[in-house]
Amino acid sequence: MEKRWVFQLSPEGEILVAARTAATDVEKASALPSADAARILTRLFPAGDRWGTPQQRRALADMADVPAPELRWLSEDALRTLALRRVGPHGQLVVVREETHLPPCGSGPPPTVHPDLQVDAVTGPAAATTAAAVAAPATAVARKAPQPRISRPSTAHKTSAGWSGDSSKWPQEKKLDSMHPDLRPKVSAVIAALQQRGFQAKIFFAWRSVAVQLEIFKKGHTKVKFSFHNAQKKDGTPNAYAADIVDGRYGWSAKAEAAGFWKALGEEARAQSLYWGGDWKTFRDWAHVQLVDNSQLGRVKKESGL
Amino acid sequence: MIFAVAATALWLAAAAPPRSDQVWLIVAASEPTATAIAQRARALASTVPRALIVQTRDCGDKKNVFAVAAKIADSADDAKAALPAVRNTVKDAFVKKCTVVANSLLSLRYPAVDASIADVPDSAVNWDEDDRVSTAAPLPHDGALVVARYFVNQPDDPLEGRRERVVRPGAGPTDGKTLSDDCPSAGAFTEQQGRIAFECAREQAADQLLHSVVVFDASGAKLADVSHCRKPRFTGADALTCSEESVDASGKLKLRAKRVSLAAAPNKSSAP
Repeated sequence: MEKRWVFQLSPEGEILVAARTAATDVEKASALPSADAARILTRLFPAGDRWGTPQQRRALADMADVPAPELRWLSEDALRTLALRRVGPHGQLVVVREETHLPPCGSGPPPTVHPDLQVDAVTGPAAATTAAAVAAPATAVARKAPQPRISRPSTAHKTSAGWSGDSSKWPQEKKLDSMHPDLRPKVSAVIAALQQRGFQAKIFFAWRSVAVQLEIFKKGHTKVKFSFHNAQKKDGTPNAYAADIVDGRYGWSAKAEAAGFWKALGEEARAQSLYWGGDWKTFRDWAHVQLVDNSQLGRVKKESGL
Repeated sequence: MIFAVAATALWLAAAAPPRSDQVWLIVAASEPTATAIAQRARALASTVPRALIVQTRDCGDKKNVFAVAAKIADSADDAKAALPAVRNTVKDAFVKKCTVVANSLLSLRYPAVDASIADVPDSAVNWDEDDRVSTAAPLPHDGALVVARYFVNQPDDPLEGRRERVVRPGAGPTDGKTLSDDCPSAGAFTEQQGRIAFECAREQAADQLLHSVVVFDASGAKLADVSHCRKPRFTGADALTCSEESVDASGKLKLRAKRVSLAAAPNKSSAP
């Protein structure tokens, strides 16, 4: 059976979505085919634009199934990409959930279709049901997307207690905070996309101090004394340009490759315009993603005041 | 058994011939650093052809200096005879008597610093002096391999163009057999009956390096390339063991013995 979709704009411009399992029969009946849904979504959230309302952003996050803690790091383009992918032909059904429910097709006043919800070159049931959805009362409350998969934000590490300890054992949120602001949304998007693909993706570590890096170097466990993981602001605050991402079940074992995790990580990293260590032919670093190419290392070190 | 003896004989014949312990170096230039000597050697290339970059450590000196040796003479008389020709182009060239350290790069007549080192950018972050200097790696029974360190100009390279080449030296600097052209952190060299095995760091996994073990026969043909293994040990005529590496999600390295058969398909590893 073909999956179908419903979108609705409230007068405040809010887009209301709910989980597939919560859809009523009426909602299911008024859903749109996937291709039309994706087209509308593209129109509602055009690439490169800023969308305006926080409600729009929340709604899109629900569609994209992005946990709240990660949302603040995601760019609008990244969020849009994730939502489009999920609403695409292989995604889940997303429907409007309203407290008063949609009127049955054919009842109530003649529908008027909001311009943003018009389906190009679509006639028949799809267009009619879209119109019905728009005509319905707009007092709905969006249901929450699936539960967050990254722990709730904590700002304790930003105090003078600082950034000490084994950074691979920090909470995910703290690892995110140790990244360069431009890296955070991209890594969040990569993790969310991998989780959507069924992987238990997590950040192994992002930042670590130059002192720790030197210890590892002296043991002969790394080839570099300064890496993009060691980038910091001039006051010493972590500002990592790189993160290592693994599947919590596999780590770097052979199972990671067998399960297709490295390949998927590479795909998602490239989709975010990140540089992936699996692409390096001479010396692989499968879990590694970084914000800039390797020729920037000297600049980043200088920027770090080192 | 006959094969083993023959292979050993082939290996010994192919290895560098015995050198005189005492030589006289006609020094055209000297510098304290590898980069500086590589740049001096390049500048002198047209006027002092066939020069060899040496390090005085290979003469047993405690304080190491790099030098461009325009000629290596076997006697004082030969050196004295050759000096004027070098001084025609390098006025302050001089002769240095040198007692060559066994199994050193100088004993193998292999350059201590590759010419490409002159091109390493000043802005390179992770290049140390040790990355610029080649080394000789003595084998357990006899002879030595050369780990030649060099630079390739690839701006997006994760190692900033640092490379290590493993060479079985021959009679002269250009006669060696290259076993691996790219073997980061080349090490754990072992040899048995002409066969050679060593490890190369190929991957980073958390705070660990993961390696490959490569195995070559006496002619330099590759017999096996075993991923995620380190510390090779020959355990028989046709077998080798190494420590198989795996890093879990907590970053912990686990090692377990792995046996590799060298008898069957060449160039492929064999699981236990």
